Amino acid sequence: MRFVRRQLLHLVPVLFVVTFLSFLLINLLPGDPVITILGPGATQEHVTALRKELALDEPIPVRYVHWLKRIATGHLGQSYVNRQPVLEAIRQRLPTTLELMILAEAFALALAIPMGILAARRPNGIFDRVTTTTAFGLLAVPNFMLAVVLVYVFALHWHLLPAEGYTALTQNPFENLRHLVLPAVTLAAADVAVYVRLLRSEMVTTLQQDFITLARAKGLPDRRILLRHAFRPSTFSLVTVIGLNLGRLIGGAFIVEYIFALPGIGTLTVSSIFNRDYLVVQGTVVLIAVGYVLANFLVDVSYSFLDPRIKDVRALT
Amino acid sequence: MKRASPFPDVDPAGVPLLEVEGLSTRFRVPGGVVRAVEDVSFTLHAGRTLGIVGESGSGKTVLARSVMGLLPHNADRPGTIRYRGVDITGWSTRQLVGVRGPEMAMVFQDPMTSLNPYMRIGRQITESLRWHMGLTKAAAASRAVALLDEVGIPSARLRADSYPHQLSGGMRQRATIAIALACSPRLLFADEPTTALDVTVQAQILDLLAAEQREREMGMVLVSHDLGVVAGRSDDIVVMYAGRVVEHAPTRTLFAGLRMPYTQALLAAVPRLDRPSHSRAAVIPGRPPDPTAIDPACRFAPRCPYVQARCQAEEPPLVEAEPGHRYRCWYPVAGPLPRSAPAVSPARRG
Amino acid sequence: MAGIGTAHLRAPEDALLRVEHLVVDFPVGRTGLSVQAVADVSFDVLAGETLGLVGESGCGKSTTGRAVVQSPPPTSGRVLLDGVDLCELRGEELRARRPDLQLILQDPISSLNPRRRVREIVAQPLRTWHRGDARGRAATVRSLLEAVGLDPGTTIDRRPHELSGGQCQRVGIARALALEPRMLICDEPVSALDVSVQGQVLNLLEDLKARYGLTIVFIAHDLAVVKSISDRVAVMYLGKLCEVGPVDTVYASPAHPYTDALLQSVPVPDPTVPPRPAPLAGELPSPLAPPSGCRFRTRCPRAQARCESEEPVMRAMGDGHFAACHFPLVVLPPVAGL
Repeated sequence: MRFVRRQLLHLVPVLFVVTFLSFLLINLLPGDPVITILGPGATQEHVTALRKELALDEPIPVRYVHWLKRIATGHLGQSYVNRQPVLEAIRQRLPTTLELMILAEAFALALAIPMGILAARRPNGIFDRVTTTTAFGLLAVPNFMLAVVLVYVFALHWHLLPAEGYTALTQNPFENLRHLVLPAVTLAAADVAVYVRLLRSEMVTTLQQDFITLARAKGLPDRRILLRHAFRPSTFSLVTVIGLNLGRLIGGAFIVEYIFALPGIGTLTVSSIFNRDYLVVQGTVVLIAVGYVLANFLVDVSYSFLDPRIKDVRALT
Repeated sequence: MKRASPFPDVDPAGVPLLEVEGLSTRFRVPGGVVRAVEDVSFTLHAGRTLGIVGESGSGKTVLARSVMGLLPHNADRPGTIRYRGVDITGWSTRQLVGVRGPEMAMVFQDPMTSLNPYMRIGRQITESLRWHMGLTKAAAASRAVALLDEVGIPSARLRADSYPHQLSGGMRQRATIAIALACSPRLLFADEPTTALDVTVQAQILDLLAAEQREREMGMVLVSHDLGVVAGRSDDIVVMYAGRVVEHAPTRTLFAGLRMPYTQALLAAVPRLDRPSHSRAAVIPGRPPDPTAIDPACRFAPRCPYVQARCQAEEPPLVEAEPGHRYRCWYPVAGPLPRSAPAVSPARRG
Repeated sequence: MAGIGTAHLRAPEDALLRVEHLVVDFPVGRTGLSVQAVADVSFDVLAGETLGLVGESGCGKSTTGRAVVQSPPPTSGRVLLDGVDLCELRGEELRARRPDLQLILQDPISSLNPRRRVREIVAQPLRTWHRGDARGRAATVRSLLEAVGLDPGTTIDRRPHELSGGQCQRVGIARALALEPRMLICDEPVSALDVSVQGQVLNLLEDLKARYGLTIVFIAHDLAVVKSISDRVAVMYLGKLCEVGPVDTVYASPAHPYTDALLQSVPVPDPTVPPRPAPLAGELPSPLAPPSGCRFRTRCPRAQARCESEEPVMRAMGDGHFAACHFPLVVLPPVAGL
């Protein structure tokens, strides 16, 4: 686990760079947060005072250091709009987003893995062609449309699932799940398509390897060859893309959250941007950045579990 | 519990281990059909070794894989394969699963790519032991260690827990031999088993294969591009060219009294230690024909130094002109070239 | 065979290439450790001579070839081409020497740019070195292709994947000859080719050598191939030189037990010669921790205590024949003191 520790150490400079860049980006956004907070009729004294209070009169690097200090002590500031501490706002909404993310990825993988394996079994066979076409179809449908259709069919027509809203997991796990199924399926649809394609094409390559022929020469049944010999070596791009998706979904899926009225990070971020709720935006952007970096770290670590050769190379370096 | 075998416990006397008759292997590819193997027949008895010799593209590897049914989906395989007297030609993958492993096994060319890099060596042996022989996990594990020990891997218990990349090339090939021998097959295909190895290790691996074959009375098909590898280690030799058997004879007969010009040219082209330095290499001009072409001619005619009009008009059949010695030539030669002079003109180049 | 020493080198003024105490280290990851792929190797090649460099994988023969052409340059040692040490040259000075020394590689297809036509591949060194005008270069390309036995009419506009392995190797040779080198370093040039095509390329190299007065270092693992083309042969094991000498002498009466084992291991294409049992047990030791003394001693049938403590030095075994072994297989002539 020396490798994992060193990798974690490498994350520190990455996090500095990422947070600095996001800090910079927000400060380059058009519009003056002070005017937004105080309203257009504010007096010059008020504006200057607030600027000083927020340290907006300092150069950006100095402000970044101030801001880092505050973060280190857990002070992300509070919303100008409703005076809610930023940390609390994130803490309230993060569970929704995480749940949605995990559920969506679980749905996507549960479908994509068997489909990808079966499609690769006979490239250009009927199952492969149907799968490929369906995958492209799913990719082509924008998720807001899919969401609307799903809501219409499952919520309005059959009344199987709620159309919107959210119940916390701690409150009522069953209701919680019922509320998340449709948004998770909506999010999963596009990912399924990508995952099936990735897994299929890597499986096809793996299945042409000599060690697969050897496994066949050993008299192992097809199913065992596909699952035990071919699957693991074929998951590298899949794992990479899942990592990227996890990073992306930590930031929430605004459109889906909005349509299903889910109180997640996505809606929080977007509404804060519209409100010029400067500190909240900064908080969520840092969260997203950290999410991406962590997800990629997990992907990197998982490579050594997937391929024993990587572990040995890393042990040397 | 061991799986039920579709073959008799004791073979009736005289029934060969393997009979191949008129076997062809064709691959459907965009723009045509690749005729990788055309109309091959041979017989192999238990305890004997058949050498299959040819250059790349001659179809020797495809032939070995055809017999075991290890072909991609785009392959057609007309012909008959009888194993221990049972016709297994039309068998499904599901049926062949019981043949591969306990009946036939294969050692591949490159142990670097033929071992699963993601699986420990021991696991790669135990999985067939457990699947075919129904051994318990512990029994399979100790059997795997015994097998690794048998094929000459030092500290076998430790090595069973290694991944393939942690072993040297020679040790990897020993491990693939252990995998092949795991379920005590009666027929072993060794497809260029030493081509990827160094010459001193090659000798070790060939010795090991020969020892195992003697011990277990296996039939062996030894596929190689190297006449030197096959010469001392086979009872019979099949020489292949462009998917066809061009000469087939007991090994000693073939080397002493070869009749096919291709065999003659191939033997003359092998660089030899007993030739003085700077002796000009005998060459076969040109290169093998396009495997998708159908031509009513001898496949070797364009490169043959003895070519005549008939060779270009009509493909010669494989005839058994002398007992046990078959060849495919209208104008057979009288044996190998004298060793001193290169007889194929080096002036002609492709 | 921890063969060190330079007793086998000939007069410096006679040699076109003289390699002295060549050492090539490769770092192992970021461990701070390094593998000595080539450990104090010396050899020389006279003008017009072909030296065969033979050994099994991991013996350092390819690394030696690359160190000679300075890509990458050796860790230490001297590579004298015509008396000039290439390792001392930098930048433009070294570049100016490159046309004299050309490298031909094993895999004929991947060592050619797949998107270029044969015409462009062969002309490329001429363009790089501004040799001749466009018309002159086109004529040179055609004559080079003819010299390597390719018909310019049918091959000049092909791309590498449209040619066979043997044809690609011919294109590679034509490209190497474009700058009229004095020396070719051929690294396993025929080992990817079928035996019938191997002979074509070997004969071609012999013809070109006679025609252009080339000096060749021929690196290969196949002892019979090396014999067929070389004047002298140098045998390597685990980064060291074991034996050097005229190829016919060395093959007829090898002095070093490793050379002998290599020769014994080559299968004979003759069924009346029963295969001998493998002469060597075991495998190559790790180059990270090579054996003390003679590096071959762990597998050597003749090894004794002295081989463990003392590294053998190259010494004369006969006329022009040298080996680094404490207990050689030849009876040394009475005058065989050093």
